[in-house]
Amino acid sequence: MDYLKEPKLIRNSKVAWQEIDDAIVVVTPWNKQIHIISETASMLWRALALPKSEKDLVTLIVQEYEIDEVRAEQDIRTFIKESIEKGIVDIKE
Amino acid sequence: MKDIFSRTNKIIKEKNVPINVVVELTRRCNLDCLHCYNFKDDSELDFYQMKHIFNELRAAGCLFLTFTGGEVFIKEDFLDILGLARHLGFDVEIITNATLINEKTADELKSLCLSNIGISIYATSSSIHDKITGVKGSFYRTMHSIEMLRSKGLNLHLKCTLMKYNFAEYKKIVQLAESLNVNYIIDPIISPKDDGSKDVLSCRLNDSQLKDFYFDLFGQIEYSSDNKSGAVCDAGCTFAAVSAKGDIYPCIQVPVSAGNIFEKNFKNIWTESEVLNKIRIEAKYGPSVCKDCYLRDSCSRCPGLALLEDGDMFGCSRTACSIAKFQKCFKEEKLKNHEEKIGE
Repeated sequence: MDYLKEPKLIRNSKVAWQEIDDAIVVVTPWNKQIHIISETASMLWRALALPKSEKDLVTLIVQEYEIDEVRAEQDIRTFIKESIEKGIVDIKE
Repeated sequence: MKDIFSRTNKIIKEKNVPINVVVELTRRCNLDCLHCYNFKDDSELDFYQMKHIFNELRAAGCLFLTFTGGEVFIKEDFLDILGLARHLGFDVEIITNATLINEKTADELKSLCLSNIGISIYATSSSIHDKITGVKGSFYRTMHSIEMLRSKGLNLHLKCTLMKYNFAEYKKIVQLAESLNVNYIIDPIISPKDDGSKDVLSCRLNDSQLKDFYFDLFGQIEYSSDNKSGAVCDAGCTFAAVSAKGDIYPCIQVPVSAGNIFEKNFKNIWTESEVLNKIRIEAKYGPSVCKDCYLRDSCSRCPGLALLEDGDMFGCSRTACSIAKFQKCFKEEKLKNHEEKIGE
């Protein structure tokens, strides 16, 4: 797939968040829900300050944790699915 | 998931992360409420001072910011300040009398995605409300804003200080909140003014009214025999306030400066202040003054009230004592009724 045409993900700019130790506490103000991103996934949250494709995130996690790509893809898809459902990550048009 | 929540919560408490901060943006106000505790002066924080404060708070771990006054909308740059706070990632709540909010402001507030707007209202009729605020027409302006903000889908809650002038209105405020489908806080505690003067205490409910209010409130709470309802105060531990002069307080109700944010780095004030460290020791082991008190488990002592009313923030608070006695009495009556029913 053409990289430029891959859908990009980015943090939802409407959420509030703060780093507490190695975790990230995210608040969705519209429903006052608090979500916690674990130490491992916090790297993805930091990366999503700028638009990233699923593949970018997989590459990032493979490099950082030296895990195989298939496992990384599964983990990233779960993270993306949950983050979109919670409304903390958007798909950038 | 539950584990990660409790672990993060534990870290916040153990490390005294100032996760909640109230900012007193201005002391100016367009109303002149009978019970107001505030200093009456023109102190306020401008956009550039707030930018500095935000950076310091963000670095120290703050997530939840509440803006209060005075009246926050009296400041012309308030929306810019809110915009910056949201841009930096703070969760933002504001406390306002809402009289200065117009349609354009409401739209901007909507786009800023605030967590909540607390609106002060004292009655469901203009004659009582305006008497308390000292400004004719304030009731209709506040109500108009409440309806407008609600129609735009903003999260609101009503804040009502209960005093002898509006005691009869208390259940009507509850009905109003329910009809608007918004939350409400009804608070019968009138605090002495921050300058120590106690004239405002004449607005307080009498003992009989206070008892009625608390018995009604406690009736809505389920008690078990081992229920210990003494609230733990987070002031100075995970809760801080910034005054309109930049002084760091343990809480907006405890006007004791731990240092000034324009003279010293917030993190240093937060970790090195003697008064804050003493508060944390009291919070960790329980207030030493309450150690042998029979009301301990029912008491929600407020250090600010203890300071302003009784002269010692680490001492006993006679208001907290009265409320604890009501609670103890309520529990005993409830238990007695329960035993009588079993005996029948």
